[in-house]
Amino acid sequence: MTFSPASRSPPASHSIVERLADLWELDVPPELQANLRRHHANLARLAGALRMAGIDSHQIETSVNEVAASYRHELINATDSMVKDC
Amino acid sequence: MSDHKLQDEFGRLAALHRFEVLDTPPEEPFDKITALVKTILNVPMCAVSLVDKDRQWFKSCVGMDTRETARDISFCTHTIGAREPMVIENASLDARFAANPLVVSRPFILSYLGVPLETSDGYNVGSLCALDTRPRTFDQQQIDVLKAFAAVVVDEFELLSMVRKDQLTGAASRRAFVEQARRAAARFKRSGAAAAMVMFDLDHFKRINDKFGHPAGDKVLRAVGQCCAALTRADDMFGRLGGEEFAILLSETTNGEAVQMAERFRSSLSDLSIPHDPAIRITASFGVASFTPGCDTAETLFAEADRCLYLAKQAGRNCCCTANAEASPEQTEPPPKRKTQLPTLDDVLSDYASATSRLTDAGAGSKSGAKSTTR
Repeated sequence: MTFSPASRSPPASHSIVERLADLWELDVPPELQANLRRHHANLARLAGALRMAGIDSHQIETSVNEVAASYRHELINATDSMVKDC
Repeated sequence: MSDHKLQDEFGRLAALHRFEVLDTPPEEPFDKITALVKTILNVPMCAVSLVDKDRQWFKSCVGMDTRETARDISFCTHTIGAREPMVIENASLDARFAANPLVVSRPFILSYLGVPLETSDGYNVGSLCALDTRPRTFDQQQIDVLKAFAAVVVDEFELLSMVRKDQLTGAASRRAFVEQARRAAARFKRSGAAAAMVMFDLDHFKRINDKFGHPAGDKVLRAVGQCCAALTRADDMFGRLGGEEFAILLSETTNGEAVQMAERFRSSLSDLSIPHDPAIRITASFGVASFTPGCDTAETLFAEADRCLYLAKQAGRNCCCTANAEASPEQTEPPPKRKTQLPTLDDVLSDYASATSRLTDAGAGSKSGAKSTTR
């Protein structure tokens, strides 16, 4: 069980902010940019929801990082396949 | 938000099928999310459920050892009927679910929290759900957490959907095509369901790019995409394998039927006049292969179709070649519209022997049995 009082959870760490910023540094084709914008906003929303639910900061960081990493992987695959086809 | 879409089942199913995700293998992004939800909400079960016409199918599922259930017993079919999450604190006290087989027998669901998976065009294609075998409540913060995860699930589906489609031609991407071929191979091994692959490559495409420029080349590829999409049957898949190479996976189709289909594609492409100054005409070379006991994986089917495509190129282009001896009698004579006579493999065996790099993929057995279906 990972719930803990919200007051004991510090704000989302710098690494989450960095992880979100990482996504913006990818050079993605225009077709994928709307999806990237939505995902960026949704990751920020996820981090906020986890914090509001009192999840400890380590779990928040792990969760957001895992989700962002797998999305990033798929985004790179998508970008590669589109660039190859150009 | 258009609430009429909640009643638009036809549009909802179309949105679901646009994802082309049903019956695909598990994928890490979804498995990570269900695992995280299970931990964070402290539930024994979590699923990404997609609600198809008559079933719910799980793209990811933890805590349950099933991939699908009938739709009429699914909790998620209720969830997709609304914009807001559905919470069931004790299913045994809820008239809709008290006698449900999922409640009174394995997996003994008693509490449920489901958030609709709403696409960016407003259709609820499924739900992200957390389930427990004991009665429990879910507070607003937990509901918000699941809503946030659900939004991420939709992002992933929409991204994967774009990866599965070639943006230039509208054809399935190579990745989606390979997945479909693997599923067809599994069906062939399981039940002997026939399937065939028609692979083709535009002839001298580089010359078009060199002569008219890449925008004209793109126009040609788009025209090929439109032409082939119009000829492709609902249960088949038309894909772009890369560059100017395409393929069609034909379900429940014998090799002889596939050759007929290939000839239809070849003829239609050679009839195309692509608007340009001057108009551009194209031809393509085709290889046809089908599943057989000796060719029963996606990889061998690709290799065989590719080998036959190579033979078609060697035979002078704008023709079809196949390795399977089966052919319907009417294919033994050239159709009236054929512009070039299709060769037998015997005609090209000498080239075949000298073609080293691409032919190494083909097995010796298939070489000896190789024969043209049409001439």
